[in-house]
Amino acid sequence: MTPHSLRSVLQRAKAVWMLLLILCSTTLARAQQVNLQMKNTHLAQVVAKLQQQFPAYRFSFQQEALEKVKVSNLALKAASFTAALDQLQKEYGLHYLMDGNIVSFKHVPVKPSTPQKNPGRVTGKIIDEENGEPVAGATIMINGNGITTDADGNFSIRLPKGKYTASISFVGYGKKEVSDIDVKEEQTFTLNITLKREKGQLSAVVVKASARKETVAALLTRQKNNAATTDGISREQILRTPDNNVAQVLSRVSGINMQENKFAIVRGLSDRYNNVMLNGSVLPGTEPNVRNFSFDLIPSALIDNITVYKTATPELSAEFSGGIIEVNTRDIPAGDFVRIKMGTGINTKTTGKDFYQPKRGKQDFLGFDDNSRQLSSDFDYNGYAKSVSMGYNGGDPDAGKIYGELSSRFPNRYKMYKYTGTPVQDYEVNAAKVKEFNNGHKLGLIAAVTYRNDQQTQQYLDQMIPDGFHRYEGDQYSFNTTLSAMLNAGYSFGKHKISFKNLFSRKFTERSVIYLGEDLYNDQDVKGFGNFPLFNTIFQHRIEGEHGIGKKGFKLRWHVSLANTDRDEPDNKRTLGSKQRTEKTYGYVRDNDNLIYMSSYFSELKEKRYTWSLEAQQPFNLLNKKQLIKFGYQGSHRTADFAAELFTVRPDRNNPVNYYGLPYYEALGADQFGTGKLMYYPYLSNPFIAGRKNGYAGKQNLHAAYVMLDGRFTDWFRITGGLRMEKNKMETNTMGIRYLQDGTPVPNDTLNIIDKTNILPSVNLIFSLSSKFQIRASWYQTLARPEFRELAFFEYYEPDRNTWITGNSLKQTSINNADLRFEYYPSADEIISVSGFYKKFTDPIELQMEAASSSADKTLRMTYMNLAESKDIGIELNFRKSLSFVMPASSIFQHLYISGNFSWMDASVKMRGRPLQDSVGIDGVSYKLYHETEQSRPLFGQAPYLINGALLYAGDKFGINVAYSRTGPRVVVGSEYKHYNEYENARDVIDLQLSYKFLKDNKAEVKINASDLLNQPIIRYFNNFKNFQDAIRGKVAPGADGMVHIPAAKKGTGYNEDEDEIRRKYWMGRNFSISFSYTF
Amino acid sequence: MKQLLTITAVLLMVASCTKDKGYFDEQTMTKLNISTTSMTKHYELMVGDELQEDSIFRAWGGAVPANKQRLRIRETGKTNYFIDTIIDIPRPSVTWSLLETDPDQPALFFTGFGEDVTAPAPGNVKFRILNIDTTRTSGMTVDINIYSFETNERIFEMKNIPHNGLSEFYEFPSDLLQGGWLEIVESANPENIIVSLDSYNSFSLSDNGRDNVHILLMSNDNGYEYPYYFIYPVVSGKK
Repeated sequence: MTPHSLRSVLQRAKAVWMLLLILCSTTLARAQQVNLQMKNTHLAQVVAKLQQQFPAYRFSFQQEALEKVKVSNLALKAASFTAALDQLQKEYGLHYLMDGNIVSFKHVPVKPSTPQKNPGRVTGKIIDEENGEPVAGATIMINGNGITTDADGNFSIRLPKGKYTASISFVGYGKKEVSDIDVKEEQTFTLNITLKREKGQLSAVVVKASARKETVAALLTRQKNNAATTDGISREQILRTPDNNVAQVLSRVSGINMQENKFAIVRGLSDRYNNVMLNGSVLPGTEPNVRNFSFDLIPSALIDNITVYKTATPELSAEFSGGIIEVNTRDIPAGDFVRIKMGTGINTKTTGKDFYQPKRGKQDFLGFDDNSRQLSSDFDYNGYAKSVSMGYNGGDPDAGKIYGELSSRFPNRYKMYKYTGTPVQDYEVNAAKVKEFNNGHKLGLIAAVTYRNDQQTQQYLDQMIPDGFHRYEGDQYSFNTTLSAMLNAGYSFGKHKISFKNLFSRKFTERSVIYLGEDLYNDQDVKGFGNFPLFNTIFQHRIEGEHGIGKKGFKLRWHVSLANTDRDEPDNKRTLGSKQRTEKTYGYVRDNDNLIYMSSYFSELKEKRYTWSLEAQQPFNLLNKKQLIKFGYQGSHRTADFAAELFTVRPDRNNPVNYYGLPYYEALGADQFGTGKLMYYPYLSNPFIAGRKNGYAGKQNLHAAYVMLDGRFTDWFRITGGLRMEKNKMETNTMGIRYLQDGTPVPNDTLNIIDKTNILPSVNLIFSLSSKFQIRASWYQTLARPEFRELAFFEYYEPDRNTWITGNSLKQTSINNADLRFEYYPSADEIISVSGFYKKFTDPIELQMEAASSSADKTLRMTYMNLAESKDIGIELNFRKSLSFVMPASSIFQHLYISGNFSWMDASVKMRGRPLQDSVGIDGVSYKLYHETEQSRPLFGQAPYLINGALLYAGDKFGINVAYSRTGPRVVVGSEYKHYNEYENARDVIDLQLSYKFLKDNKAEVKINASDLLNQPIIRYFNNFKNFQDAIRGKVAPGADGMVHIPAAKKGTGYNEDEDEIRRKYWMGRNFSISFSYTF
Repeated sequence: MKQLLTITAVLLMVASCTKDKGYFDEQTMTKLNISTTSMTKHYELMVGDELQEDSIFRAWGGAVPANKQRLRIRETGKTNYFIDTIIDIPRPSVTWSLLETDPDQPALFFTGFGEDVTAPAPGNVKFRILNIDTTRTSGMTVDINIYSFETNERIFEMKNIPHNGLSEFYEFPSDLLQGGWLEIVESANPENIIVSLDSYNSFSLSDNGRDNVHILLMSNDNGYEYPYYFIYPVVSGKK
């Protein structure tokens, strides 16, 4: 750091400290104690007396009006100035509005009311209908009580049980009356309201609306006024769904489709081109071979809102193209509550049926391992490999004793036990507490603990017919436990708020598979068992602050956070027994190192990510309009540490045991392992298997700075844009081992570095042609960076797919994006939008299957690769429409909505087309086989279309939601050979939810959910492979040009049994669940 | 707190209800080999209730459930099983021999040797003897002594060979078995020489027997007065 830059940093630090000192002194002034005793006087004199005590404030009031209010005996003793004002408001109806040091008073007669033991609360936010900004200082009158909104437009008022109508007004805005505010004892009613700015003279027109519609309308208003194109879902909307986790919630957001019930596709783009933020901090991925984040890890109970950004603004991370999914957990609650939820459910393929897996650990139901799956803590992969190298390969008996002894201590979980599939268990406890201090400060605490256990059986067919690999059928059993906890605290004082958010999430998944089928290469029958436990842990801590400073709307935001991710895969193993077709017994022990038949894998990935940011924003007036400028800095430091070892099991030297006829659990029983018996033969650290790596370490430093202008130059035109600079340095160090002649392992690492600075411009234009219609146009540049895993040369073996997956020297992907969106708001809670988008990817990254392997071990190989270029052109239709127009008088239709979205995309990646062979022999004559010189298809993970539709009824007691979704056929693994592109079929999914509220004040609610009612299979296939096979086998006659042409697929890339070769087919079963919740 | 306790109780209850109900079972199998000596007969083999083979001729091998099983054998096409017994079939493999001594009678059924029989040391031969003689040694337990052709010295001896039963295993250097004069005496009374050296009966195993394990059948092919004892391998198992 240069002296100049050091001085600059010190100056900035000094400025921040000064700022904090000013904040503290203001707070102290307000906290000054008030002691005032007066008799036989009136309110005007009381206010005058207060003015004397607090000369720093300027009071504004109508003298005559306050003189009329008699005060017989005043004994005012309050902890602070604002507490004194609150007391006067409560006892004498002296309402006040504070704007900085200006306090305006107004008298509203106090209505005598019967005091209630347990009042309820109305809370919410008032926002400007035109720009979505919070309206500070607006007055809300309910039941004769008035209150004004704070700097963020928030308000909160206690009221006795009852139904109310609120009147909302503010200078410069129209008045609005909101009815159907249903306050219940000790419950909080959320009311978000939009206010419309009046042009010219004050209008006498009062807009009337219902509370429920107003709240949804407020969400749409925020969406309408967001600088970027967004879609989202609010806390209230989440509560009206039966969703258990964020994955399920996300499936309701426009333009999002969930894969495998946990991975998000935004606008048809897979995880690679999306980004995930939790409370504003980028979250690390949860999967080892993909950039995916498993959204089912986070329970919906912890969520305040989810926003999906589909276009960029400079303050957003540049690492996305499809969308940024921002998940925000709750901090200061609106009021005190304790809520419990208990749920259960069944799966038609699982519940009450046989469920196989190895012996369950004692703590599986809590999501923790009881160490029955772990190697001993002092197990050293390299040391073990050395002993095998010296003992097994070198014949050293002492070394043989070492690895034999260690082999006998490996976890032994080969035996598949039979359990009964149990119903889903789902529990949640949420509690919140708000403490409002007399000085108006507020402290909020929210805590939540959720627990879920579910078991799923999946019937499957898995085959690799091309090149004659295998065909298996059987069942896959998944035992899943999720345990999550959240503890958030927030403290707001004046225009400041500081929050501390903590999230813990632990998910344990154990997948067990039974394989029955054949080894096509060796022409043998196969029976086997796989077991893949996985523990995923996320721990995130975040401190953030927001400060309004001065009178000119200056705001400062900052945060510091730490996210820890741990992904532990202990004892992932697969055992395949084989036999000749005429044989009756399977052999499970082989004296070779073929991984197809026996693999045992251990790995652990630990990631730490520190992030921090500082942002300042300043509104200013230009052209008589309010403009906003933002600038900020965001930084992150991330480290990853991954270690793994892969073993096969084979007989030790001089092993006299004959394993013929032994059941798998006896052949591989614990007593069979040891010196001279069976031993674990290492694969990754083994000098006798060249080129393997056994881990990697990653380090990333990312610094971003941005400046952004949100300009409103006319009533109908808004421009938001700016520049973002990102400096990124990533290092991935793949750990390899080399052995000296005496067997001593020495590191042999490979370093892969990306060091790049990008300037990324973005601009969003909004043309408001009327209050109901606006057009958005955006252009922005974004990035997609490779993950550590993709840069590492570590070879990850997936036994399920018989596949090695390897990283590569990759370049980051640059993406140019353009969006055009037409938005129409027929009414406040309705929206119809049509978007068009264009994306050009330079150096896109794709996971590609290498040429189908013909090697003796019959394993496939996949590698991450940079392709030259890809382009997407798409359209998106989104709507939410009330059906009240069908029968305006019907209360049913008043609560009935239809919503949906449709995305279509013409995506193509250009890459060289390679033929598997050049010529075909037909009746002894050789013909040239025609092949395209270029492949033209979507990038892997991209779906050509998405359809989501829902019919929603949300009455006071009863609710129903029918949802339909369909994702078009998409490439899940690409290939350099067109006919080896692996597609996933399009399938129709229908979900149904019913809810009913009951007991006193609707405190109890029952929800019934039926998901995937059609239970259509998921099919993965090689498109048009059978036609390709016919052509290369000489079954297709040559064309007029004398060349053999592969017949075109009749259904294009859609699945067609006659032309496509199935890779995998599976059924998930239908799920039915019921939950009960009660709010205290 | 009450709610938390309730949830914990429910969790514990459900967890305790999910004990295993057994496991994905597999039968322990073994390899059964059958050899038959008849040059004409075919046999049908049942293990448990499963027909293993309906026409065994000379030799058959297959996987059958290990340990105690009901085993039945009949001549192909016949209705009655001449063997119907519960028998222990050890793992990992076992060989059984159907030895026919009289074409008009059902074959004798004997255990052969299982895979638990160890191989002879290199250069040795290992065998056991089945005496089916119906003449001089009938009903007797005998010893067989072999004398050198050249020196007339006793070069090896085999003790306690039962009649119609298998002897223990004997192991000798293969070279000794190139040939020798044969003497049979009563085990209980070695003075009682049943077949003397004067009868010029001989014993020999060719080089084929080297390093191998055998069952040798002993019979008299020439009547009581002028016996001609013949000892030859009927089952050989290369170990």
